[in-house]
Amino acid sequence: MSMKRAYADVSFGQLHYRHAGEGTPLLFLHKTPSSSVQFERCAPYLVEAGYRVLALDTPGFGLSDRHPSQPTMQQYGAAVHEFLDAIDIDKLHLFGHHTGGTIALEAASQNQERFLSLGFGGILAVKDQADREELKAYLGTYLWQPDWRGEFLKTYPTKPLNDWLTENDPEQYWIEATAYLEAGPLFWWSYEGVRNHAPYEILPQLKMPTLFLNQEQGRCYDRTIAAAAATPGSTYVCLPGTSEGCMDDPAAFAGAVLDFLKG
Amino acid sequence: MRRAYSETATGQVHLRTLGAAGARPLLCLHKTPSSSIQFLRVAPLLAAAGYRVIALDTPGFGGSAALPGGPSIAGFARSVVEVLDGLGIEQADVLGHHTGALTALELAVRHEPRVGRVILGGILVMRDAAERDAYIPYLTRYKFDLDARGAFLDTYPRGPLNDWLTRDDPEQYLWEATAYLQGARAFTDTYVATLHHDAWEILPTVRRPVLFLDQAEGRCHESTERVAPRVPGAEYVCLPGTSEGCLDDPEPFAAEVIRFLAAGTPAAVATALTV
Repeated sequence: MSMKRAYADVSFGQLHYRHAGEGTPLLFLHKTPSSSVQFERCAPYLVEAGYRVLALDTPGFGLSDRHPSQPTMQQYGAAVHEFLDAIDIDKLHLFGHHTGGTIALEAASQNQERFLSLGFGGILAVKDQADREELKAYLGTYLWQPDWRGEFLKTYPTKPLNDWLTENDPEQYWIEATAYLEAGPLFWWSYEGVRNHAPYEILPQLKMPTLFLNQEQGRCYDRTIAAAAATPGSTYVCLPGTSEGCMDDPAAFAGAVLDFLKG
Repeated sequence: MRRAYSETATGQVHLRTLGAAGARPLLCLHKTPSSSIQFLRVAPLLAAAGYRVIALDTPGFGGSAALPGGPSIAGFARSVVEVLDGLGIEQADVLGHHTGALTALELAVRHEPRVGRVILGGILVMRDAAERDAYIPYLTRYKFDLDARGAFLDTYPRGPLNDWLTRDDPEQYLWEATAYLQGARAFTDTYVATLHHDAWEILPTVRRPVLFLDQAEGRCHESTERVAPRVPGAEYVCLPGTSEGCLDDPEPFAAEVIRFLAAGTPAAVATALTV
């Protein structure tokens, strides 16, 4: 099963999304620099369980327009509300992965009543200024520019994909490589939004049920544990595997999300 | 350009549009393995001249779902007709490039009432099986041979892109590389489907006004020059440059399109439509 695809109009252009199923809406926000394609494999399990599954290409990723200039995390969060308004969704479950987790957190802080629950599939929760500086150096190693002989392809998407993906799933490699190129050289805009966000001002204030779905070898493993600890009443689950879990083992990923939603 | 999906029996077709809703529709069909991004630079010029540009991603490419039964020019044309139905468009002018030109030809012959004027921007036509077979080694050089460490990227999309793109234009390279990857799975089979189309037989039966818009260094130059006389009364124009002309040099490309379309739909065609 492939998810259906569509566009929604927002103030700065068009946002592209995937959707499948009927029932209570459950919106997924992907990590950087992937796209809504990240959730193609786990969507069928959630549809089967009776949810209307939506996955948004966040601004600047997949086939969505980017903001006209580098947005703050507040603008990424506001774009989620614009999207939900455009497709007439009032209340919903929201789940974000890495950058998508930060966008979800910010969107929730802008209107807590809208979200029935909030899930994080690993979150790069920045602690302080020292942490911000450290992350800046990390990001710098992945920056790139296109050239007309394709030399960039040897470093992007190849370097991050080879760092992050397992060695036995060519299909996944192709899907992600395509998404990484769709994101283009400004993919780092969203990283900067994450890096400059202040999640610890929001996490203790969350009122809805929250899930931290960590992964043992995930890139945000330690930061996700710390964020969960700072969120009163949150559910913490840790799956085996890496940050690519929802593609690598979609049944386990979807199962953990469903256990939380049923609980 | 504004993007949208059109629902068809064989899946979603992704399209880009530009221009006034009431303007004369101009369908743009891209070459393999690109997408509607091929027309991003000519579309504003065509829209400014009063056309409603509708550029489709061929099934299997860009954001369009692949045809369930595998690619064929006849299948591509049927999906275009469904898109026209979905948009409420009875008739459009059609501009097709390479694979898109074959689909445009198929539309003009086998879905004639839906087509006004036809522009074939380079067209690869096989006369027989021997010609077809001779073409296969060229194709297999660019095989999309997927692996999980990205080694394939050097053969595809980099192989064909570095052979075909000639301008120091990083934006164009990235647009095309992205499109080539989106359509990677459909690339070879679609190319083979183009080689099996019966274009050579049906060219003499076209009854719509036709412009062959060739390019002097285009990959289909010899073929285009050879087949143009087979369409009675067709115009033939050859621009300088390569098959990448509509991104490399959008102005002369758009100027020829606008000049040809300005003649309007001939009275005989218009009459036939009202019957």
